[in-house]
Amino acid sequence: MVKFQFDPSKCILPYDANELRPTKCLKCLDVCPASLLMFRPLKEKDEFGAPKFFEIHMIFKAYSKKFCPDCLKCVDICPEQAIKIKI
Amino acid sequence: MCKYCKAHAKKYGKWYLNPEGYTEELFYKLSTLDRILGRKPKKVRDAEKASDAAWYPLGISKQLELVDLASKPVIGGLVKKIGNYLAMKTHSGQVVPTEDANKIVDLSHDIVAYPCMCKRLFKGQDEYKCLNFAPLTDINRKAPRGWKEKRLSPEEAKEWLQDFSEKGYVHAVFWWCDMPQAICICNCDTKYCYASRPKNWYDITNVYRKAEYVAEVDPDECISCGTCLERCQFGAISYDRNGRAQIDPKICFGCGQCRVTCEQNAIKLVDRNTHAIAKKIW
Ligand code: SF4
Ligand code: SF4
Ligand code: SF4
Ligand code: SF4
Ligand code: SF4
Repeated sequence: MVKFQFDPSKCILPYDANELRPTKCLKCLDVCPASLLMFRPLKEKDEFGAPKFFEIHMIFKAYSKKFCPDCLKCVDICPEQAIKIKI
Repeated sequence: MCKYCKAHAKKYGKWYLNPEGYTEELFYKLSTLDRILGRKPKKVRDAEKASDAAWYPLGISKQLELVDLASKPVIGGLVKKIGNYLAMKTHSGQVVPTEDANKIVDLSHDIVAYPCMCKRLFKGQDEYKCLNFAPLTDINRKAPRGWKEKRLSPEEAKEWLQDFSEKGYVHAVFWWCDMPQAICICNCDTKYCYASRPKNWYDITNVYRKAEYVAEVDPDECISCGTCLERCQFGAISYDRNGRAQIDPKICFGCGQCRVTCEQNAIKLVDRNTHAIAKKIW
């Protein structure tokens, strides 16, 4: 199975209160041909109770072997080298 | 008629055509336990939780981690059963063709478009294509981080549905905490969809039920132009040995979107419930 490794210290995705979601970067989501990546909030809250930061997370892991073609597009596009894929 | 329509359609033929499903009365109905505990009904409690657009992705990621367990060798079967049960008791959908989506617009009121959650989460882009209606819209407006909306008149909603259909999106009506309460018409690009993927990949059927219909091609009318093949998001269409389009009733979802570009009008939707093969596949 493909092992997705994400380093949150390299990818900082702040909450955008206007859009109610992170709006910075998200390039890895855009390039993934299998739509296997998502953003999700980390636990820390701001003064209004909204999430402060988000992280990138891989979904449908059981199927990643079938649907993640190891294209490494997410790894290549990430400007912060925050993603590693172990095969 | 599928068992859910038998239970919820009454005289209206399909569960989602029962006008009761669009009422405040049903939405705010208290169970005996709610009365005893002096709390709001489950539909309202769940809607209040879901109306926090910023935290919503956390719940989705947790749900998808549970869905993943359906692929495990020993517990997978049980997880699927629980998933199917919970899908019926919480929030899932059924594919509908454009004609039925228009009828749903006629039954609903206070129609708004929200950004498609799946495209937002899995593509990082906002496209306003989840058409929601009252009473859920009301709860959302009161929430501190409620979903951004674009209000639509019924005529506009039908124009939008037509536009979605031209783009090849699949319409699906979603229920909320039990049928027949309908809350939205999603217009899905299934490569991002978190409803159709658990269905197609993990066989959790109730998350995204097939339509009450299935498509058939009239081989005498088909001129092998191939446009329907590109339109089908589920890979149900192929060519037979004479080069005519053929639809596999075991795969077809009955969305009707293949018909839209068939200039020969060679494709028809027929009743799934009386179709020899498709009637068992939802
Ligand atoms: S390697 Fe390719 S398919 Fe796999 S997660 Fe990255 S972008 Fe997606
Ligand atoms: S491409 Fe890299 S920096 Fe950008 S969102 Fe994805 S993981 Fe974060
Ligand atoms: S179910 Fe369909 S329209 Fe609704 S949020 Fe998901 S992809 Fe978008
Ligand atoms: S679009 Fe119509 S005519 Fe063209 S291949 Fe499909 S069924 Fe045949
Ligand atoms: S073949 Fe079935 S699933 Fe495919 S587009 Fe036509 S109606 Fe929809």
